Amino acid sequence: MSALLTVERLGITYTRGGGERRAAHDVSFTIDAGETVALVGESGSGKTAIALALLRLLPRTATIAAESRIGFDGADVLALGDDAMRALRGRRIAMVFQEPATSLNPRLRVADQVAEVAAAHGERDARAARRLAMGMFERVGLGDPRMARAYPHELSGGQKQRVVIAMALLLDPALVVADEPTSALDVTVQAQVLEVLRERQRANGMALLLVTHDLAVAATTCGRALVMHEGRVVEDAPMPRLLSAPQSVAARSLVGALPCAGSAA
Amino acid sequence: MRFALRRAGQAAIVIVAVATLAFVLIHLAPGDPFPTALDDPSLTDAVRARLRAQFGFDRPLFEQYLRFLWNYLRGDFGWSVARNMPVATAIADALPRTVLLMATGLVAGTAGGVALGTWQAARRGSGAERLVGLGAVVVYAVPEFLLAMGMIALFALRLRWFPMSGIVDARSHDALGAAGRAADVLRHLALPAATLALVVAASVSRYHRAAMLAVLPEDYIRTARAKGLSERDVVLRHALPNAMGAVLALGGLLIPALFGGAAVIEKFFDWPGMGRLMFNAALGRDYHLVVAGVVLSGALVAAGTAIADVVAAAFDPAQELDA
Amino acid sequence: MSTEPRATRDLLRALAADAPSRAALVTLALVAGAVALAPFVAPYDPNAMRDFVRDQFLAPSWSHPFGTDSAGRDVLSRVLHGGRVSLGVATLAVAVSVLFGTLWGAAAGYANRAVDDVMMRCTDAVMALPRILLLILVASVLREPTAAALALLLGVTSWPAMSRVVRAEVRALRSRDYVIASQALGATWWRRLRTHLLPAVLPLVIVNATLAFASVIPLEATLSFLGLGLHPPTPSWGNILLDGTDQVAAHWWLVLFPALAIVVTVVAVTALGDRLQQLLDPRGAAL
Repeated sequence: MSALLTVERLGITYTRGGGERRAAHDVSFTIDAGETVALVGESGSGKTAIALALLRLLPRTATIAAESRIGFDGADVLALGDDAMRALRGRRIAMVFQEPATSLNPRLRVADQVAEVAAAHGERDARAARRLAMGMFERVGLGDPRMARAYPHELSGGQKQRVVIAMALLLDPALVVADEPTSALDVTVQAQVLEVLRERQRANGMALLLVTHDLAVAATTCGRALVMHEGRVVEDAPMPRLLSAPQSVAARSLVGALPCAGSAA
Repeated sequence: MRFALRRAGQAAIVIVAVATLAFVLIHLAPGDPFPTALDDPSLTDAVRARLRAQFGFDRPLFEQYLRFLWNYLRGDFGWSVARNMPVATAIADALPRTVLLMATGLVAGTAGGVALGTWQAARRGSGAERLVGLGAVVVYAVPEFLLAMGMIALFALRLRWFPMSGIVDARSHDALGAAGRAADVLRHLALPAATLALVVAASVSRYHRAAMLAVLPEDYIRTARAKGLSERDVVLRHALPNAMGAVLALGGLLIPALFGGAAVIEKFFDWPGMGRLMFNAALGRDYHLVVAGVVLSGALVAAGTAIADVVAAAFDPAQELDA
Repeated sequence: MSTEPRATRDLLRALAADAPSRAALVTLALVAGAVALAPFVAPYDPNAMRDFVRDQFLAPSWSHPFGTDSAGRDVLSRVLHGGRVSLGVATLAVAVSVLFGTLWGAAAGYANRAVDDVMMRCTDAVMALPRILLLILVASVLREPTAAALALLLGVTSWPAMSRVVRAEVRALRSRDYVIASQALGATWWRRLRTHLLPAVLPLVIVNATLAFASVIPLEATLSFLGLGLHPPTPSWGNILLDGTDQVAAHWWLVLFPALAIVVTVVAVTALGDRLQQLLDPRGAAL
């Protein structure tokens, strides 16, 4: 079975002011359909850049190296035209961002923002789109009927993040990229949101790429881990093996920092 | 609703302050200006006596001030020496014409400015955008009277599309039917309103472009793109409404300048509105009229900014309207 | 986060870094230089009326590169000297508004709620008066203001914008951690104001002053043009234009050159102000 996502020799460089900063070096990995993979590393290790590159959402100041290739379901992502890329985004690959507080448009109702995903990909009937959104809300634990008219500022951080997850999952994408989805939340809420992600992943069978600096979060959710350090992938191992026998220096320090080292979920 | 009331209250205070300022300024001038107006031999004794009694020139200053406020509240703005009629009458004719001009210029200019600012932000960095941006700055730099001259030279004199001045064609207007008369006014409105719109658009586009550029890097714009929305939808549905909020708030700062610009344009196009009235009054030392004009404009500005604030708040879901 | 003011050298370097700003700086330097050196550079005395009939309304030529006006005066000299007047008035006006506006705004930002409210209502009142109309009011009383009086007037009508900006920033900074920390360490309010608040406010003031300068120049020109500002023989970019308005096509040089002077200067200052804003005030608080 060929891989769902193939990343080959991905290099990303940021230009700022006069200088350049290499965020990612020669990164290669694959993800199969239905796999749950964690992209772990400290801040600045390049994880977010890679996540953004998969949807081609990098800012203007970033350039992707010429030799890089990203293959998704047979298509060459980096070579796609704008329209084709837009058709992919939200429909086949979706993203969950880190900051729920700023990820939602403060002026639109949350239900409308979620329904917009369906509308953007061909659903002409506004009411049908809304029904789809409300159904998704139920499945992520936002079943309260008041959600239909709520604005982002009326929701808690955890609720906002569930909205973002609902947005990402609405059209049943094959791959969900979650960039630090719980870092901005309280610890108790973190666990809840992660549970929502896990549950939807099990139900839909989608692939999940979880980007995080917190190995504990990765350990409870993913079956495989890619460890990044200073822009390179230094280790690629199934989760149990990583936790019990980390090979690289970076992995070892991450594992060592775990509260209860060795006891994975 | 309570926000609206509070804002209205603030506006009222500002209006009173404006009137006070006008009163103070007039009386700061060397010599009391009003007696000078009284010395004008063209005034009849009856009018002079009435004015004297009304404004109590021999009374202490504070009492004059109170009379002044009281008169204004009653709608009595004094006597226009130059026109030999109550100021209120002179204004009553001119004010609607100014409102027509300003409203048209404001709406057209804001629409144009927002469109231009949005386009500039979306096409940022491209050669076309830099050129257009430079053009916008040039229009912003040119004093209104020069713009007016340019418009007249091009559209009225060279191309002869529109008339050069006035509000109606003096010769034919009365003979026309209702539709004809309206068209006549509109034809005369075109150039002054277009000039005002240009001035407004230049300022608004600057503000709006800056607001859009501040909004576009925000996270929720990135979310919108990640959802697969077309760039057009991202800009129009997500970026624009949020940028407009900032512009509406800043619009309050624009309104006083708008009045000033409108006044100059009126003078230039001989549009018989408040601006022209005021200029002529100033040059003719018709102080009551000038003061009334200043207070009225200040009142309109205060009202306008209050309305702009309330509208901005009404459209912002995060604003606590009942705070 | 408000930025710390960069050292002047760094700032100039950053300004010179991109082409439009470089062009603006050069333009301004040329204009300022020409105008400052007017007494030495101008070919004629700007007020010298020579043979009234013979020299009236001459088109541009070698002896009179900008032509002559209705009184036979050389327009180039008048534009140069007029620049001294117009720009001098603008500078003085901006200085007045900066001084007054900063003090007022800082005081309001630092004072308690009640005092602040009163001060801000006063500011709103002055802002609500359209500047032109206020200037008409005063000009109708003063008849023929001197340049200094005009500058004072313009400055007094411009300070509200500055004070609002300063007040907002001071208010925001008051509750910043580092200010409270310095208070805990025993610094007096004056020291807090001077060391922490004023430096943070400086970038905003610079940006605002620059943009205010750009907006005062056309204002003075308009007033002088309308007969409410500076009157001839004192040259001002505004009143030189007056001579040409009766027959614009025939006397185009009387309109073109002062207009060019105004537009070029204002565009350059505005471009500079915009760039300064990018560098010093990215949040746009100084708008």
